[in-house]
Amino acid sequence: MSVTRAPDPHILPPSASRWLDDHGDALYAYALARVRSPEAAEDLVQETLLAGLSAHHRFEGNSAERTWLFGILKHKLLDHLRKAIRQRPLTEIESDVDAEFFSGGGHWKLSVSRWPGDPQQALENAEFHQTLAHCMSKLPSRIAQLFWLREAEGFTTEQLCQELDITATNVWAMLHRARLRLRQCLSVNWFEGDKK
Amino acid sequence: MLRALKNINLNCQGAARLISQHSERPLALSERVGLKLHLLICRSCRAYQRSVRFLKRIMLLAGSTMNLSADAPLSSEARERIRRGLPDR
Repeated sequence: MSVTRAPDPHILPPSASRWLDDHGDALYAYALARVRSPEAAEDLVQETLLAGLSAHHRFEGNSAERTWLFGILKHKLLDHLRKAIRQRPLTEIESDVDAEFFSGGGHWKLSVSRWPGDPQQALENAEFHQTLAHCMSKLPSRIAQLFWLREAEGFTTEQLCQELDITATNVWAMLHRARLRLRQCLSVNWFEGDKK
Repeated sequence: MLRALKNINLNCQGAARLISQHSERPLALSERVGLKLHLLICRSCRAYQRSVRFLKRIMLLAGSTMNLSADAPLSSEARERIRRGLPDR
């Protein structure tokens, strides 16, 4: 007796149009939050869906479809950041960040408050997520993207230099700036604030 | 030994820089010594170091999935523009 296996109803044929219906909003929101331009985010979603079609034979079905599409989108975001940096070199934003935070003698202008609690505890509060998103949105876009790649996506400095074609000094300077600004923003808007 | 004392007079500006770079590259001995001494006497820089680690942890736990602006669905126009560019529309 020959057994013909019915096609698994959970594995649908690849359809970029269906992906757009099912995951379009999620992909778009994610891209928009990072590149901050509706046009660029729209392009990234389309590129992601097209790349998904041509790479679908490599989709093994052992991750969720959405997770797989997000993986593609993250690569597209990295490409996008590389192009943005190539078009407008980072030196243009290399104004002196330290002057904002330190006096001439190299002391903090405001004493730095100690953040109470722990990260896990903070993340259990939905409002904290909003505050964090707000503070990320206040960073210059490229600095926010680099910080996100480094801290959330786990790229090393070396990988970022290679992928984005920039120097380690550039990466360090941008991360330094992101940390100073984010810390201050969260101190003011979430923790008790810094004192004079 | 003198080289190891190079950062002996580290100020907060220099300390903050090293605190950040500490997670990017191994610090030289002189930098480690200078930073340690500075942290002993500076409450603000200790608080800064704590918040840098705090932030790191937060981004690791939440950053990858973070929708930084959740209220941004595709407009129907944008959705149609994208659909027109797909081969299987």
